Amino acid sequence: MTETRERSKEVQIWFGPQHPGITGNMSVQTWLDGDTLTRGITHVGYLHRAFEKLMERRLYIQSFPIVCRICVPEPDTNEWLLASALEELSGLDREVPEKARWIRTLVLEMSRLGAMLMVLGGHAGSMGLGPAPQWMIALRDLVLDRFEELTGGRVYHMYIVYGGVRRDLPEGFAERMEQTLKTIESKLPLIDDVIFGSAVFRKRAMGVGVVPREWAFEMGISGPVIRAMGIPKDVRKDEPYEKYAELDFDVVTEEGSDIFARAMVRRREIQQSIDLIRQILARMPKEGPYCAELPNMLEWTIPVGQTYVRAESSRGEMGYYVVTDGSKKLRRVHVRGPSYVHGVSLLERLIPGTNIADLAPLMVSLQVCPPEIER
Amino acid sequence: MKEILKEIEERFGPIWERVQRPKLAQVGIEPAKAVPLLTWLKEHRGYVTLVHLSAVDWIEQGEFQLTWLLGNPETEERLMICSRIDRENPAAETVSGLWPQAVTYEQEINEMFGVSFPGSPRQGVPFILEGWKDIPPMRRDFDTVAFVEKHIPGREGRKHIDTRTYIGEKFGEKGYLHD
Amino acid sequence: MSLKHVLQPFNAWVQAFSKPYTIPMKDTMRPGADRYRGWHINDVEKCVGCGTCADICQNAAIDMVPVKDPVKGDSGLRPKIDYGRCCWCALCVDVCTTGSLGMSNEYTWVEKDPEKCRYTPGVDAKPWDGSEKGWRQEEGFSLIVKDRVPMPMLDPKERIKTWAEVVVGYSVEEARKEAARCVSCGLCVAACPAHMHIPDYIGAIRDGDFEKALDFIYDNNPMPEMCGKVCTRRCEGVCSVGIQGEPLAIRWLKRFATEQFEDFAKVLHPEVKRVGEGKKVAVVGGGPSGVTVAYYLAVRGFEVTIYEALPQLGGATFFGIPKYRFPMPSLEKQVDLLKKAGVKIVTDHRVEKDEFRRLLEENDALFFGTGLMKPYKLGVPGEDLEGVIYALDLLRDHHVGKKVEVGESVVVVGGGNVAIDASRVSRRLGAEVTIAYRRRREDMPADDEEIEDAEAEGIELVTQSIPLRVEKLENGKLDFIWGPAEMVPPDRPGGRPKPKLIEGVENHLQVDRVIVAIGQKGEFEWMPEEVAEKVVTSRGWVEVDETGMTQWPGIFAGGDLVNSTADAISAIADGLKAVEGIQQFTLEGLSVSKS
Repeated sequence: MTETRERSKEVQIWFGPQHPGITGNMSVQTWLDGDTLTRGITHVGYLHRAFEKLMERRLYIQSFPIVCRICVPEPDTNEWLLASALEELSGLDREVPEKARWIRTLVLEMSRLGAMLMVLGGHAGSMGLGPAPQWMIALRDLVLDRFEELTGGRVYHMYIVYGGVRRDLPEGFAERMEQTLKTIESKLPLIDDVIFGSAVFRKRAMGVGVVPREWAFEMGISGPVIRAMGIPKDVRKDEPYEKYAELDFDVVTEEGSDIFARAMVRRREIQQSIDLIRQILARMPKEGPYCAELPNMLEWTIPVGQTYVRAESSRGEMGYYVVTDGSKKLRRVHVRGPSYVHGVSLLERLIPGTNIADLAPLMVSLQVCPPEIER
Repeated sequence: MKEILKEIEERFGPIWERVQRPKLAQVGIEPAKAVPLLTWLKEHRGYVTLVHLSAVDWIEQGEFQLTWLLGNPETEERLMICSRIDRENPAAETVSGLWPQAVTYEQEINEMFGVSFPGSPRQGVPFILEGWKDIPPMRRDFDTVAFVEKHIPGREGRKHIDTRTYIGEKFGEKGYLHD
Repeated sequence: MSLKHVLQPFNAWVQAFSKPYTIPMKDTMRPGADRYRGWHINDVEKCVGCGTCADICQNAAIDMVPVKDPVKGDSGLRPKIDYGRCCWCALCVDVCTTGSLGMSNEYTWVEKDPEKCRYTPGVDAKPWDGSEKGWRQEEGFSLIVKDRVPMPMLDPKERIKTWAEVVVGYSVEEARKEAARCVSCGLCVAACPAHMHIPDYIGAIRDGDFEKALDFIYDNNPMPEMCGKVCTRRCEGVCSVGIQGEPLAIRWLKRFATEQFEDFAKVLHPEVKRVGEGKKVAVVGGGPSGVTVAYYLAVRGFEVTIYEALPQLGGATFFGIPKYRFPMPSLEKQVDLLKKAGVKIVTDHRVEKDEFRRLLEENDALFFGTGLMKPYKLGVPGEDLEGVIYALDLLRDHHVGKKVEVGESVVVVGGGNVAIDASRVSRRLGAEVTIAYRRRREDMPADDEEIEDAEAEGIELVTQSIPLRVEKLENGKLDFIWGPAEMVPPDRPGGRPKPKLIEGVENHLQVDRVIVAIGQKGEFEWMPEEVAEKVVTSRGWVEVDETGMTQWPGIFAGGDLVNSTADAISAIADGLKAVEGIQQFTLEGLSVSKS
């Protein structure tokens, strides 16, 4: 769909919602001068499922299967955030057993790994580098196999619940997980060859989509985007949750703040996640309960309160602002996804001067996830 | 976080406050003082990040609550600034001049709750909804069930029986004090 | 740009020679993981149709549909699942009170007709029925609370020294916590003979609205404090939470609600029409059935008079049930409400034949619920010896204030609640007590908790013991001689195993008293012959129709005389039936005929 604007000789192009290069179901209305973008407006609403409203109309336990659906590649962060917020407001957090904390950390790290494998593939795919995304998706599927045996579901796990997790680790899980990690590790050098070693990728990613450092804090940029500026910000370190304080890892940073740097942060964080999963499995308690004793979930009420909890998703700081009013249902939940900033304000500010062919790689590098914007 | 709360109280007068977690505190303040407080926190106390802006409908009290969540990247502390405005013709001062991303938040709250932020650039421009004619949907009095029943017909042939009611009927449960 | 970066990507070609990690099409039917959440399965025999699965389903994907007639303990409903809505979260499985619902690990199902993707698991046969794998409930995770809030009780050593109430009662916090365990399925309502509004008053207690709870409770039970203390609680027997855990303490919650108020009249505000103005009803026998009839007719404007032979209303709950279970102030509170509702109460007054005839003349309807007052005899030699007494007599004498003595040791024959009451009263009177029962412990009709309490108080239980005879010894004591029994299969299928005496063995027990508590029957000597002829059956029962009316128009009956369960709540249910019956009968303009 094009429209010639006589006044400025600009061409208006809608990028999405039906476009393989767009991240998810969204669109960017752009104006072009030649092949350079002059302006862009993010449009969302194609995937609005009113999650926040739905949760106000459901019991706490009924909200639990809803939240994971906010993010397909990484549902567990959402599950954890809702659970953690409600545990904090109800006082149940004091009863979450040790083993549940370890399993939760494991699940959160597994989901980060799966999501980063997918988005690194997306980096390459958005530049037309075919094989890498296929391999990455296949590798992610190996993680999903582990999720399936652990949680009973492949994509939507519905596993981290108030008070702990829903099931114990299956017999022999650690060994199979180790096998999966080895397979993933064995393919990583090849991925380095076809992505980071590729002249096409290097040429198109280096120096493109640079986010100025001074925007970082004011706009609330987080995740790989801020770490690619050389700023070591990571919720897992800044306000450690679950067992992250007990794990040994460093915040990954890169310099350059361009698409390449962001891809490299993700590449290194894949390795970091693999290491963390190994640490977690090694320290996983053998015995003990995996969930606190829950109240009757059909009648659970939580006292009046409000809180904000946050976690490091693969995209950055994911937060839940939760308000309870003493009833059986949530008064309000506000899902604060990193894409809300990355995909609207930041993207719109980065667009002017960008080549149209770089728009898709830019959006992937910001890891824009529309369901986080419109919830 | 106690120090900053104390300082806010000294400078901006009566507030309610609560330390929720070691790195998260809540402050309630009257609407007229909210934006001056936000500005001061940003300019002078290192709370440079606007993490989010959100609204809560307290329909029973006839109020909307606006919650600005500020972050201090130095200390990683978070301050939740809450302010209640009247639910009739709700309006609040914009912070889009302080934080560019506030435009989106204010646009969304305008659309979803009907709170207006005069001077904010995208007020009245649809963000998520398109051609919405009903009351702002995130208001508590928006009836989701009625909306769904009107717009999305359910599957035919479904009939749920509530066990409790069914048993009462089948076994002749009766009351003798009330007709 | 270096040449390296042009060549390096060609390393990808090595992948062409490696084993693919995608699965070939022919192998796609790989099974799901052991706990995969696939299509539902349901063991419909185990399922009781409580509907918690439908309640918890956030998608409203589950309909409860009737598959058979409802019975006590099973609503006859089963979940039917709409896979157009199901999100496979398996909360339905985790909340299931019976553990009957599960999910198979079946991934795939292809069907042309979308309507078929709505089925009742376990009823509509599917290939994955009986699947061993898939998502099931697991130890260590429960969405309902299986453990009951423990009831504080007096220490057994202390309580045998006093007549104080053994059960202390819940605090507000404990009661609300216990009430919050309820899943509001309503199976209890079916099991309760009076069909009390159980989930509703439990819900009100949970919400802290005790007045509302009392209102629900009094809506069809005028002696709730009594039921809250001593009810046989059939409701708890079918409680869906009790299938895998401990049932809700329904009785204790009712007790809690009634204990919150000193004067029920201040809280209750009946709203029924006073249709019975000007109509007179006489109630003979002030037990639970009579009290029920009197109270609900009185609030409807009827002029009701109760005639009671003993000094206090309550029937068996007054003279039979010991005060450490049901203290007098509790009873008085309930009688007080009756008085405030306008019921005339005549106590210490036994209605005899002529008066009965006169009452028939003077009233628009008459109700009698005189209970079972005549004990069954043991039928063994020596039964008439001094020192062989009947439990009912012992309890009555004790409760009307006569001095009773049981000596140093007693044997109580029988296994029902009366036997346990007589034992525990004897224990408090200072005797060593042995209970001799013909069958096994699990066959005892007495309440389990009662048996446990009795044992905790040091009462010995000798089961499978058949009394042979009683002899007087020279030292003045009685020799209770009994033989052991073995259990043999019942005569008819479905019956209870029977005790059979093992010949040739005699055991001796030296006691001061032999207390017989093997049941009781009705007594009709007070009833005019012409009435007794019509209303009493040859087997000593009274038969009534569905309105509670006997063969004699205008005479209604209820309580232990009428029903076979012989407990207070059944008597109350009979009373409720008669309330409707009497209202219909009198308002249709018919008077009691003498036919």
